[in-house]
Amino acid sequence: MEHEDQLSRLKAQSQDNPLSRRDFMRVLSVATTAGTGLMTAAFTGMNLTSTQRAEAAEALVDGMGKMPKVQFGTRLGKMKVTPVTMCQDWNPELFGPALALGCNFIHKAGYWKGNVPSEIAKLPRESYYTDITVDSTPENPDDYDNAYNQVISSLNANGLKYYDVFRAHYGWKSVNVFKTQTGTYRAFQRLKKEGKVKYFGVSQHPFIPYPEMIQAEIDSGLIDAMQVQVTYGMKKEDMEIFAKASKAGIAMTAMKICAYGMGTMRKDNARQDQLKASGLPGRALLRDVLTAKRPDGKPIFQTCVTALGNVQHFDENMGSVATKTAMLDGFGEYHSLIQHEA
Amino acid sequence: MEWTSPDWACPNFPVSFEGQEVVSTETIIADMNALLDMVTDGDTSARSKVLHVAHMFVTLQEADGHWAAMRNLRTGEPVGTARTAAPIPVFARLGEMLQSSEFDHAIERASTSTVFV
Repeated sequence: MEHEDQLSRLKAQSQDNPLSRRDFMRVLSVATTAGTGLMTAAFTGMNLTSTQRAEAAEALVDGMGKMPKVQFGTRLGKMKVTPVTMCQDWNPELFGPALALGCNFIHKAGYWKGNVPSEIAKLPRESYYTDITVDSTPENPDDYDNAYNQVISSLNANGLKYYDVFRAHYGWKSVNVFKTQTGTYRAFQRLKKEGKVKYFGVSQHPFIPYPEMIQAEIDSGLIDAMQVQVTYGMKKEDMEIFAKASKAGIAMTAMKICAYGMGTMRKDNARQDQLKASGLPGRALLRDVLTAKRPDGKPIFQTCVTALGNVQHFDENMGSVATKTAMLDGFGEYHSLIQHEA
Repeated sequence: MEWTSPDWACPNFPVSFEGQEVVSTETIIADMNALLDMVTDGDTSARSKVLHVAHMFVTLQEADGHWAAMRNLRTGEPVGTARTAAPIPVFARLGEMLQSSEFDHAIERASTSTVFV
């Protein structure tokens, strides 16, 4: 109670003026003692300077433990990724903490111009993976020149040397177009020969029902990596086709998990409890997706991408499978499912 | 501000009241700008909601480079024939905030349009 009163007072005080070093250390001390789950509660609503936010994030990361890494399908060589990827449009203050947790894939890196965050720019290029979402689909899937030029101009602007995954964004609007309007894929082939991209993938939006489109993509043999919308409680046939793609060796990423599932999971206290994430629907959603299984018992999805805007979101989402947080929550299901290296 | 259902054709779009179906594109854009005004260095979560809507607007851009001025967000269908380029400034604002090329192609498609709005 004394701590709560103290935090409330400091929270109110921080709205008018930045906390003094002594007061900030007081908050940090209370938060660290409370444990990671309550740490962000201690900081929620606190108006901190950027330095203080960085220090709070560092303390949080220390308590969370590393993210495991999992083999990303069978078609991307030896690529192993963390179960939550970074995304180019995150709050930039979160890249450092994510890297500290071991995150090693950046979705939409191709949209960076000359502004790759310094924490990433200083890393050896081979130490992390990226995708570029190429926007020739869905409106101009045959536009070879635009697809090719988007990748080239992007690399010229941001200096990332190459992208690991060329991801057709937002995917195709029909099976017929996918099969017959192949300019985007031919651009990938040229870029691969030139060493600018390595693997072909898609971020497929459900313009037509997923089973039809994804079956065609599986059958083509062209898709090495697939990113799809996953909603909590989505149709069985959608999860079944995702499982088929995963079984076929395609590297599977789940997207829009929180955007589309938050409302439903928020009301499903029983499921939150099962996932050891009571009161944390974002954490519950990620655990739900990452433990969804194929008929052979392996996870359907190797990773997911989620929009993170502040330290609270970072804690809630990354804590879903960060090693220490999962252990402290009593959630061992995910780590039992996978073989990983910390 | 309320939000459309994830089951709708235009999911998680801002609306004035729960269940509102027909909304003008300009109203949606005004809401997006209001959300972007809330972004701070420490908390960019409002921008995440805007980015989702912006991503959807990219897929709703039509062959003339513009958008329906009014839309039924539940069905995704345009209402009436009026056209608008209202998403363009918010695309540009997002591009500037993120120093991102994500919306450059949509902006270019609108700029080469021969339709006056």
